[in-house]
Amino acid sequence: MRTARYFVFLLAFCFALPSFAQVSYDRLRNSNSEPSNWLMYGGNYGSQRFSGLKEITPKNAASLRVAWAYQMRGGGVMESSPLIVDGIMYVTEPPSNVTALDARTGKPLWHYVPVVPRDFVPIGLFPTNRGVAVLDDKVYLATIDDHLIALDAKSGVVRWNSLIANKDDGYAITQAPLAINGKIVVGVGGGEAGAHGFLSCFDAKDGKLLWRTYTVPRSDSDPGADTWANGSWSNGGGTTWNTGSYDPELNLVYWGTGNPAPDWNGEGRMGDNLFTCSMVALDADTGKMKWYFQFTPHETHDWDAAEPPILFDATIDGKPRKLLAQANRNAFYYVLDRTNGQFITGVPFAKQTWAKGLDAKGRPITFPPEQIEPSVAGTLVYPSLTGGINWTSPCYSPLTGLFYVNARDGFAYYIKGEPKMAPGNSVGIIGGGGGGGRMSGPDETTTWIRALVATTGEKKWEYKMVGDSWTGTLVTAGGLVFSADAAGNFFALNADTGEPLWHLLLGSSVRSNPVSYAVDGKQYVVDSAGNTLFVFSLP
Amino acid sequence: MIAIRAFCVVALAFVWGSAPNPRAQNAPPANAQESPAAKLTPDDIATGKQLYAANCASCHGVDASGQLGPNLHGVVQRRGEQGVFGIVRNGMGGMPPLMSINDQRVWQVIGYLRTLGETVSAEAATGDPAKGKAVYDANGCATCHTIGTAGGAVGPQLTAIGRSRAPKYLHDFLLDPGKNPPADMSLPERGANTGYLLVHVATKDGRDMTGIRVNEDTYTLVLKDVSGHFYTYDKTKLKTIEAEPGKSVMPSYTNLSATDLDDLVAYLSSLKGAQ
Repeated sequence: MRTARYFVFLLAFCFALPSFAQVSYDRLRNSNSEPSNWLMYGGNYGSQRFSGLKEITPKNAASLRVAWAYQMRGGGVMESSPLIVDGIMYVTEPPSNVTALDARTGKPLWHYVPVVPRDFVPIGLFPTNRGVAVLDDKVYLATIDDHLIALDAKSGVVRWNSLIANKDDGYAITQAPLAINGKIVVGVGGGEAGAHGFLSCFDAKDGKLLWRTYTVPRSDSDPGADTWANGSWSNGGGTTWNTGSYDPELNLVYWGTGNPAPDWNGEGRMGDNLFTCSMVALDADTGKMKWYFQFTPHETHDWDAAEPPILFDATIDGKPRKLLAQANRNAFYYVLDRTNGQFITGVPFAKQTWAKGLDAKGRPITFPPEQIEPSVAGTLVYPSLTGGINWTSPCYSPLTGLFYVNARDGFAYYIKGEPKMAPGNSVGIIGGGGGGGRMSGPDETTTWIRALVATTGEKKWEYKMVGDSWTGTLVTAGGLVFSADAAGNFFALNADTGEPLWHLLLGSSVRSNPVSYAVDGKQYVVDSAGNTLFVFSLP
Repeated sequence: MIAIRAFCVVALAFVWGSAPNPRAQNAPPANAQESPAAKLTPDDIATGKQLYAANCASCHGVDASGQLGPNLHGVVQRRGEQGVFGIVRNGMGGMPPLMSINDQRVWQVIGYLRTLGETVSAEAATGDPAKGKAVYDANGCATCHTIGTAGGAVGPQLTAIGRSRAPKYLHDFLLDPGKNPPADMSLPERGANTGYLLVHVATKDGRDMTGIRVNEDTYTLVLKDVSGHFYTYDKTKLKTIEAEPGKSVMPSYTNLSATDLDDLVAYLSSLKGAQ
């Protein structure tokens, strides 16, 4: 009798609660085959942010409504891109907290708050977190004070905690790590704090460091050191502060790098300053750099190349190609051959006034320095300090062949400062580096959802928004593109035409990347506004 | 629909006023309790000036007498060093938190601001405040503005305008109110929109209106008329939307004598409000 009752209890338990399933590397690698889940930051290893779900379409999108909402426990603005695994949602909250929610109802299941020194203030970035990674039975979190922490996916209990970098050297982390085959890859932020950028890879089982590759030289004999005059590589920069992508077949990790230091004044670091403002391709097993492509040599406007690279395959000139596309903060859209870094094409996707164009190898042909370089009085240049795009993610649909990007047409008066860098010392910076700039205000800035032909960058359609939107894009197999404007209107557009189909004012700014998932066959779309996560579905 | 252009002759004085903000109570972080600003050296103050130029001047003006943001002369004396530290770190109204410099640098900026005192480069008003009040009353400014508890509410209240705006700004604004409109930071999530922007709309069914923009996003536009009524428009139902930057419902006060203008500026500058 007691056994039977116990069995009933167990059975009820199984049906009542979401199940915590294992997320194997094979599942991650084949994430496109299970569109009900959103298994990694970029949706798949190509960071395409494409959902294969089709329930919500242009015909019924007008019926979308809020299914549930979750308010963060603390203050701040949620910038997290949640993961959804078999009915469980993992979302992060500032500065580095993780909450597991029942993806059907929004009910919290567990909450993890790491110990972060209360007086720690990261330099050059807001203390937030943009997501986690999952692999096997663990959830992986990179904290604002540079720890990589493995949590038990069922309970939020810490399984291991490894130090990635020293916060006192200017490092801080806001990105979601990337889980690959038995490994966790994670970058660092701190480009305005004299930090030297690097990418690290840890053993997913025990947190042991497997490799670390620096993106700027650390000695005169290091590759690229001859592109920093007078040993100025010691200033650092080239941080790896946004999540990258991975090609399992090539076994290459792709990551964008940030500005050289100091920013806004390059006089003390003449040269191209490798490997800053570049895309780097690293061997996932060794960290060895296979190739690099520098978008903005000797960068002086804070145009990091940190935007997520989107990997896709297409035919160009009759030949199948493995491609990498990036909408760069410098306002150019680039297509590279991801096997070797060869430049294929590059065109502006947002207004820019700093380059006449790109040469045959993709190097910018810049206007004269007096026209574009930061000055004491301020030099007006498009795009702004925050770029043609910033950290938010574009998306790509294999169904339309279009690359959808939230593009910003804005300017800044770039001001040159007097940098006094102290290598590896966060105390030694002036004004976040060498200067700064007044950016165009909302009435002077226009943001657009632009649909580009992924192989060429040709604009197919655009949708104009009011104000300075900071929201990523999501595209679905149902034929919709989701994003939001500056005021917090979350909207759906027809992915083929850009026609607006539905919107809802969420009441605060939307600073996150939307995702989609399904539970019990029902499709949901997720984004956050202010401190609240909103989940939408059809009635 | 009220066409408010006809009302433009009403003496409206649109001058940006900083409304009291509850976030001014921002508490400084735990490590800021000892007020490191008290220990700063002359070199620190000089560094603070550089930091100010790079991080603050674009909004608060090169001489800190106010531009998009308020006049900062005397801000340290009024709010205290810890209070200013909290504002820098946490933001206030339309000002975002400043996270690009570390604590020591913030204190250096505060040290520099402390040296500005109440006036310095923000030159003192030369007129007679008492006479200026008479000019204010005679020109009907109270029709749209509130001082203390009395006056209209179409324009910003002026109770503490002398704290947030320098005399020169007030002088120039009174002569050409459309040239340098204040930023509208009442809705921080939108950022610093142009404040009090005049917008003319024509609907597809043949109506039209000019009003002060209160709010605008991708889908809707909200205008206000001089009576304080709000009008919300679905943009898809509008035929035209024409912003009129450089114009203001407030007329230019070029008709005032130089003496009256100086007196009016002196009166406005004397309005320091309640702490």
